[in-house]
Amino acid sequence: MGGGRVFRLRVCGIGVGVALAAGATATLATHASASVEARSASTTISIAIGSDPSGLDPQAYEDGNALAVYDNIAEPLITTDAVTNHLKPLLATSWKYVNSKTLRVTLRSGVRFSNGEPFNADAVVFSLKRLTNPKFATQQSDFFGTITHAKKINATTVDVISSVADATIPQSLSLIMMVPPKYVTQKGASYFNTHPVGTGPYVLGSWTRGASITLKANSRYWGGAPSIANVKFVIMPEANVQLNALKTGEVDLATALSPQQLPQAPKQLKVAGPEHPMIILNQRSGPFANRNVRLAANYAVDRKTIAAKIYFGTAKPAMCEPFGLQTLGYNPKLKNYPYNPAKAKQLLAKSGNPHPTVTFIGESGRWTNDLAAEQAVQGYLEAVGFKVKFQSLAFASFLKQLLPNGNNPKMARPDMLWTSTGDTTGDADQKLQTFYAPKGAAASVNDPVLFKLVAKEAATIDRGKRTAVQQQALARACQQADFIYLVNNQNIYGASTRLTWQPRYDEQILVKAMKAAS
Amino acid sequence: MVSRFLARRIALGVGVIATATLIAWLLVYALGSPANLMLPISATPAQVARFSHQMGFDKPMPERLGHFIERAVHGDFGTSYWQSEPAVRVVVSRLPAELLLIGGAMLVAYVLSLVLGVIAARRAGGALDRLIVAVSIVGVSMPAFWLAELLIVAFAVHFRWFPVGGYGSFKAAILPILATAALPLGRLTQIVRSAVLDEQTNRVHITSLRARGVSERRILFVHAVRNASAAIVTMGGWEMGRLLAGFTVTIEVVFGWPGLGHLAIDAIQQRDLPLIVADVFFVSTVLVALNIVVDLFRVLLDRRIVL
Repeated sequence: MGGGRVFRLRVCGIGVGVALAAGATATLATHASASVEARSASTTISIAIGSDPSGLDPQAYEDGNALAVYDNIAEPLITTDAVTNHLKPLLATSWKYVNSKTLRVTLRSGVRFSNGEPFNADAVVFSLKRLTNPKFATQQSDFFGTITHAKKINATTVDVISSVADATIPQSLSLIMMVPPKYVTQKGASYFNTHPVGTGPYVLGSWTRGASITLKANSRYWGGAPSIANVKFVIMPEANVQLNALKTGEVDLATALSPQQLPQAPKQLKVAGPEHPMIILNQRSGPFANRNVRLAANYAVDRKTIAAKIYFGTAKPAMCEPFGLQTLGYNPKLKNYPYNPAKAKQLLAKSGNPHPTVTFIGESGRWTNDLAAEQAVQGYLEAVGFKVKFQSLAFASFLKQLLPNGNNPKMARPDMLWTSTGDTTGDADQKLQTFYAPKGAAASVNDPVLFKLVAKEAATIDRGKRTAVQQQALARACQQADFIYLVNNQNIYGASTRLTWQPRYDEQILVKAMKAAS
Repeated sequence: MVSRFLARRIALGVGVIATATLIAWLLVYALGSPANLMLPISATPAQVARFSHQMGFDKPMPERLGHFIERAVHGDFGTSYWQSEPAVRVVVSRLPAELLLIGGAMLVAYVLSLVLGVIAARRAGGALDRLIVAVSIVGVSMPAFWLAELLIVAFAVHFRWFPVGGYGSFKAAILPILATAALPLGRLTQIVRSAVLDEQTNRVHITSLRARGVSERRILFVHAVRNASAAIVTMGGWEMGRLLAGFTVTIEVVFGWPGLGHLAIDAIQQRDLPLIVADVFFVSTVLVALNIVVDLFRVLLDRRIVL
């Protein structure tokens, strides 16, 4: 998968959030999907993934190949819209804050896990207890954030409780998978890891380690059986081979195509994704401490050409922030700096140093076409008078530059640092605290006005007020030209002509939302 | 004699395996704490510290090494971070695919190289000989992943005779085996050709066989090949060792073949240190065993060799 995809792919709930309200609608819908199933009961599709999943315990991993499979087996309480990422009901029908640390969630009744075990408040309490238990050592500590536990109110009502006031509990719940308490307790973690059970639309068929995994439709799925009866995940690490397999019809969906390969796919699927490649400018010392120099760097870069030529049209020029409309806190009013090399030169002259020498740390291979983008930026800056000392580091060394990890806050920051950030929480807070706060793990900013706003947004629980403060913070960072926001990448897939699917912002691969002609 | 030889070779082999495994361990752990690489970028320092502690990365190096040796001696290489199973079990689960690929490729290489090599030797200097030599050179020099891609484009995408990738059916095994066989086939063909040619032209016993009126075909296929067989087996064993020692990595990745080479790449990409070390241990063990077996075979095939 293109660089970061494997690592950053996230969990977020089921695509077509079917919130069946009235009884009549429910009956109609069930009948409709039952007849669809009868017609295409034998429909089988194949999906190429890059590597063998780490395991299939839906609470253990943050590995994209594992998520691709178990997202179809297990479900969270809340899901998100494929394109807008807005929250939608799934195993929960509604939720509201009782106080700033407590979210009261009403559960869908009558749902069962595929082994017959009922899904209820006890299952929610158990799932959260298991996930947050430090002994369980999940890779998903990101997902639950500040959530500590859940308390049963009655069979279909739970209170989800966080350690501190937290406005993003619902977003976290869209990442946390529900697991069957009895089954997990009786069978044990290692058995569950290879024989997962959930409330989802598919159940595990077989798993040939290192080769393939098959899923079968869950005939008892509470949302009606899905239209595709069988799914085979085939492990194909080479993007070229995935492309060839698409051409021969061996697979219906290729998940690892590069932007260069995409035009060759029989059908191309694209959607705006979370990744925002950007350059962190060091305000704390060096030439970029001067705002005019930061502005010059921003005017020097032609984002449209980078999107078209480096990303082959699979990216859009970024707004003046590392978020899209899918993230709460996104500021729709921020226009990015236009390409204007003459103005960049003027600004450099005004700064008193028309040829500043700057260090630029990048890496290669972690994100889609990253090295080419880094070199393009270097070229644009040199064209207006910068002297850029560019260095592409091995990823481990790059990480030490990006995240001194609090061990050494005084470590000198490079003048320019390449990175790509993708919001996976649905709220701007996490990235604001990482890149824009005084002690942010990857922060090079030095702006007391910004710091105040970032501290304030974290402490504001009221959704409307919080969003407003986050928007102010992003506006301030844009006006101060703290970063060079480059583009917003799209999530891209190659598909067979028979497959119809709306790909998702969160990169979930939900077969339930797919249709395939047989 | 044979038992003394075996005892010495096995003792040496154990030394080799232990050294290779130890070097692999030292190299991967010299990277420092892998916690940063294994956790998501957004992990907090507290999360990194907790994770390091759970995994034992925060202990001093000598203590970790002692612990590793103690467990490794009992066949325990730790739990794979990536697959959450004992690393040894993960590696063993990939052995059938590895053996099928290498065994199949060596079978193809042995059989075809004997036929092609003998034909070439018989027609030495002729057009057929030149063609066979040219093809064998192509087989030796073409990068395996490139040949694999060419085979896919031709026989999977264009003719659609075989699947592009996958594992589990006879058909799916053909292209990976052919791609793997190309290198040993090319080299063995050359070995067979020159060994047979050498026997045929320079040896007194062949001349005497001819004088006795034994047919040229019988001389070639029975006497010359038999005497050349020690060299062929040795080279074959060496080729097989090369395949095991990493040649199949790119082929396995291209075809999505679940063998040891593919596993090694996955283990490295996942920063799965126990799995990397276990993989090195297994590959070096199989290599050492293979060398011993080849030496024994040579004795059986050529009575002139004394251990």
